[in-house]
Amino acid sequence: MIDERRVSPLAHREPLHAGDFAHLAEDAFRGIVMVRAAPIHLAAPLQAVTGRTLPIRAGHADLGRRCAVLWLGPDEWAIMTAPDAAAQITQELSAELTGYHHQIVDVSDYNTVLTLRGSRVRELLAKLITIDLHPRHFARGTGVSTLCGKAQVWLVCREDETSAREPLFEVVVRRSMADYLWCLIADAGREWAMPVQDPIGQVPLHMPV
Amino acid sequence: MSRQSARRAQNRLDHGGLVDRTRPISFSFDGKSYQGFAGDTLASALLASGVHHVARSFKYHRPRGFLGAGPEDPGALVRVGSDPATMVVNQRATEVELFDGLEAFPQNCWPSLRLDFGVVNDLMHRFLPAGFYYKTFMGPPGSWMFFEPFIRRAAGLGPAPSAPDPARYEHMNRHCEVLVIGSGPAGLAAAREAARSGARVILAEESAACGGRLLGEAEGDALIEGMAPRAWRGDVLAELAANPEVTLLTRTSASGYYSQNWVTLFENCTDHLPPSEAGHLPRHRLWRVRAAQVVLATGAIERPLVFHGNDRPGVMLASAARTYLHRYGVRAGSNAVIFANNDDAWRSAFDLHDAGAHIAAIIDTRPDPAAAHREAAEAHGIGVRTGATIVATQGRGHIRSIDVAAFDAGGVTGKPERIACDLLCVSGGWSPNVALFSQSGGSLRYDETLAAFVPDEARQEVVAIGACAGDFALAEAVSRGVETGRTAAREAGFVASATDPVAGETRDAALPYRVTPAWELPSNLPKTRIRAFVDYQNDVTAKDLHLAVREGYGAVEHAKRYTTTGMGTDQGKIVGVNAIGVLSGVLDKPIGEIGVTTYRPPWRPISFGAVAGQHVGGLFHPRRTTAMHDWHVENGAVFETVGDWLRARVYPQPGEDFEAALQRECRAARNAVGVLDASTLGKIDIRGKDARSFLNRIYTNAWMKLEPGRCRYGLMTNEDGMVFDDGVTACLADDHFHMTTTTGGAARVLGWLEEYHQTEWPDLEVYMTSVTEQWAVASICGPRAPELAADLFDDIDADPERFPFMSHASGHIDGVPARVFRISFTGEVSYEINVPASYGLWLWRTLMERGKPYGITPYGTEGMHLLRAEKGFIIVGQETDGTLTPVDLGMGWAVKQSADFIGKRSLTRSDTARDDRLQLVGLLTADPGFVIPEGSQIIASGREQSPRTPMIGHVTSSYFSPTLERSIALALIAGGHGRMGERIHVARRGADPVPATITGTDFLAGLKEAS
Amino acid sequence: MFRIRCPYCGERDQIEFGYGGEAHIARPADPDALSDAQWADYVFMRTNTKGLFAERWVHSAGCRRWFNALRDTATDRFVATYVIGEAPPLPVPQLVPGDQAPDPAEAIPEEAAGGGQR
Repeated sequence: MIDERRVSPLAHREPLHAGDFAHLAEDAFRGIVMVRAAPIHLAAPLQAVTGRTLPIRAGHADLGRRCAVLWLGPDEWAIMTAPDAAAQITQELSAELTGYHHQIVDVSDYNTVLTLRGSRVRELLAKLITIDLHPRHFARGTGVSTLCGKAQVWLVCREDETSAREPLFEVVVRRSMADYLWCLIADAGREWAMPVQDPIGQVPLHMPV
Repeated sequence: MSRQSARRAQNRLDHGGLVDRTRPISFSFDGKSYQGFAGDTLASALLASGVHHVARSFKYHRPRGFLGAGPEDPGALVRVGSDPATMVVNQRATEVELFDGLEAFPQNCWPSLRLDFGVVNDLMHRFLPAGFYYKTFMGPPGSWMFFEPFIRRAAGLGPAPSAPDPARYEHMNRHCEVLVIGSGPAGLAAAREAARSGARVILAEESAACGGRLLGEAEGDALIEGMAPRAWRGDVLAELAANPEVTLLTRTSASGYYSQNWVTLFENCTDHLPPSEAGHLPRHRLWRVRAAQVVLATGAIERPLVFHGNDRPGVMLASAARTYLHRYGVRAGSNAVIFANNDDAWRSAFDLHDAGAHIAAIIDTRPDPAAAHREAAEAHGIGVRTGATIVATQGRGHIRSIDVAAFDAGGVTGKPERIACDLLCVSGGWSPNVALFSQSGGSLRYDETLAAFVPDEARQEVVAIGACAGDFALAEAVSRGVETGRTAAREAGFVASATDPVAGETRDAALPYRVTPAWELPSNLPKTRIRAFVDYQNDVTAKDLHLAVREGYGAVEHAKRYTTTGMGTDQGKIVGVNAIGVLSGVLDKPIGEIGVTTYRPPWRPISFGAVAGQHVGGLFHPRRTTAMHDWHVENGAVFETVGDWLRARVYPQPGEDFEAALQRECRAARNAVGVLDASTLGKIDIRGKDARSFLNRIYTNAWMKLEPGRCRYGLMTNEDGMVFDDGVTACLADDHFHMTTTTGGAARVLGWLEEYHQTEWPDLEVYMTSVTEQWAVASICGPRAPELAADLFDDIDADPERFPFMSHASGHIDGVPARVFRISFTGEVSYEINVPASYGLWLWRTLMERGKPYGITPYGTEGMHLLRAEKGFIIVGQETDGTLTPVDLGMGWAVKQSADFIGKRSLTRSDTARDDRLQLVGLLTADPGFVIPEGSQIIASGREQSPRTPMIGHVTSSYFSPTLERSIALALIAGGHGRMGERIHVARRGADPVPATITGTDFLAGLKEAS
Repeated sequence: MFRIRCPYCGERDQIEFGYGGEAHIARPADPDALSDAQWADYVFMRTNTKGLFAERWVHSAGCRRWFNALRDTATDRFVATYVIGEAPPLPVPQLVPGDQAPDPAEAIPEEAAGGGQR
């Protein structure tokens, strides 16, 4: 399905497990589309193309199985979808928005998605994220743009099809920082014996003698 | 170390306290083996074995013992561990918890604790007055130079670890409705009540066990809500532990209180465990708590009295003696004297007496101690001296006896009487622990009745309760705790159920607290011989404070710094108020008018590791990598960081040095085809009907007529007219542009565009979105690049004639979508090939394979710098430094006159219009083989004059050009544009200046003319 | 460390924000009409207030929106935040010309000055 010439940002990493406490994996090649427009112009076309409702408040997200829409700013949203679905959404949405001021950009290759599952994930993320992750404030259906360590991320909390108890957390990060974030999250999981990961960016900055 | 050899713990009671007598623990101090119990601190275990003298003070190296029993202790600092990586110094023995195999050592003494040559400072104390350090600056010429080596050697207490710290540290971010700091009766009551509302509660306790003074006092007939205090404590803790919304943190102290109720908690996770039991836990954790409401139940700290000889080991705060007794089951002495100015301290006499100690005397500075106490003393057969003071103490490593005499306002009145003792319990009263309240911005007020500073007005959502608020009575502390816990939860939006059971009676076992301050006590000795210590760690005496006032440093903040009072690792926890009291006496001013020194974070020393958290080593900062990173690594690239990016700088082949590789790469780019990973350039998608006019306002040059399919180079300036970024922008459609920026400037430029759009020109219809990492970019250049490109593209005509310079096309490479820009940074025919980033590595490998017949050679950023320097193209950040206009850079052609743009008006300010500004020029050295070091200063003449030769500029880029086979340089020279052909000189360190000639910046153009 | 209420996203830590200096300084419509001194005043000169101060912030790591804040520079208390284009919710001393300006320390209303030992 995925063109084998494509390499995901974390292709060199294997999923990590720390008992039932935390599992870390890459969900590669997800389709991601940035949309900028006035909400009044976007709501109906978005519904028509993706079947999703346009979230209009910070932290809100409409998370469907195949397609999710995240509020990022008062005139800015991200559509997260299946691999290879981004091009079609971009095209159809552009067509629907003709005549209105808008911008639609396919950024599927810009980002990758880290998934976190397990009973201690909120605690693990709280080591790196400053927003309130208590279930009262960050329930399933929440998505925000924030910092994780020193990387800017979108953090999404959604239903986990494999677990009724715990939600699934998705961390969307730009590809160049994906490995840094992977290693940082693994380090935050050390408490529950997540294996140590060394960042690939730790190359020497001088001539070998 | 065997348990048989361990010293007998002669001062351990056979019952009582929180220690577990079924779990003996072996440890060593100063090379000797001892035994304690689980639950002991190093201090309590050593005291149990009769060890008092454990440390030496900072300046005079005087023997120090245990003044306190917790974090407030100033003197008993030890080193824990001997491993050069994991040993920790300046640990308070009163806080170090015992574990099997613990090794502790004295510090700041040589050759040993008992025989310390540093004591010479003590004998010389008359010649080492307060402010000695400062006086060496002001003294006879050269005195600082003379004393500095001695002072430097003496500085610091314990030695720093010499190997890297292997421990892990973490941060933990938390939000809660109510943060309760301190777990004495007030804090426990507040936490329980707040938690019952369903609110999230964090309770932070500094020591290993919750309970505060409840653990340090005899229970007597005290009651809390109808229960014995320790039973009540157990119930509350059980209730808190069962509540999932409560985070109960022991060994956790609130270290800093910042704006908006942002509080840091320092948690010790493993220091109290033997290494084998630490598991995967971090060593320390810094909790960063955002609390809607903060309740400060930080208690109070007892202060000593200021009298001659008050610093010997065996001198102990009265409350500390009770803590050792009731919390640890240790009797700190067998023949004790109690010396106080308040009723509270008398409890120590009675408790020690009940524990089997002989009480040699109770000395009270007041004429009127509580009658009930006097009767009890009489009943116990304890001698009492009122209106009396200790005028001297005896005993070298441990107190042996004291001299007591009556006194009045005029001084000592009676003849001193000597009393033998092995423990002197002192109390100058209690100071509410207002450090955090003060850090939060709250103001303090001096309370005459309590003789202490208490919280006054709060500036944040914070309430002080219990002893921290000056409420020393148990009943008040608990009822205020209950009330405050409820109020705090309610303020944060949580209401407790109204049916909470009404509690039973709460009452104290002790008498109400009464104190009459006595700040500086007299002695019958001559003034010069009196040494009454105020600061036990930094060795500041009352006399030093007198001297500070005499020398003009009487303001409290001045006196503190002049004498270093309260500037040790204890930050004056127990001594601060005494210093203010002494100053008040010297200055004859009420204490309230003297005020307090500023309380600053951290409340106690915390580790650098905890501050840094996980963000160290390889995780210190992200190093961003491109899609082609693996190839660069596999092929031996040497990297450099550009912004946060890792870029391949040069690809040395086996046997090649840096310079040889660089020259080879550049020759290939000029003669065959070179390829550069240019993925890191910033890329911004700009769209909207006003996108064009927006660009016209942002860039210094004109954008209104750029046609779709074409590209243009642009410069950006700040409003001050100074260049801050550049790049090429392509017109994709009339309302759609693809902007590129410098690698390091990408985020800044996008932010800049958004800032102007949102704040100045919101009426313009334009959207900007970063696409930097959507595309991986390989830039191929060189005479054979068109052949390679033609080979490569499925559906783009690569012919430079039909796909001209400064245009772009979209198409495919082996079916992979590609955007190709015909833009150049080297002067060679170039194709900047953009593919979706996940194809980046594939593209690069494909280029290397398909480019082989054309001699494709990867070049790194160093080659890129060299190639563009040959063409005289600037690099923002290399040639520019935020002080250069486009005109200074010789790029006046990029400045439009037709319309306004950001920074335009600044270009005609008198300063920017000067013609002697630094201007960018080329330099050719007279010796073509000499490559000028970058950064070299330029001077006008060949001889350096004395005293100073005027600098007329500096070199910004310098290389040996493989194309010209000679050295070239770019430089900024005052009025350079008007000095073409002029000979200047490049200054060198320790060598003669090198002559060079000013030229234009495009060295290749010069080559063409010459040939 | 501040906690700042982004008008769009709510309260976040300061690390998510960038500071933009004094607020309510409009870019001159016709810079060429200004003298050197007037232009320099726009580019370089800013009010240095002790007390209530209107300033710009950008929620860089969140919604990327610029907004304005009223902060008491003496206590670091944020009295209000509001979106670009809105007038400040309180009279701000820096916006009142010359000698009519009230003392910034007095400009903060009692209820906003906050706290109060209970």
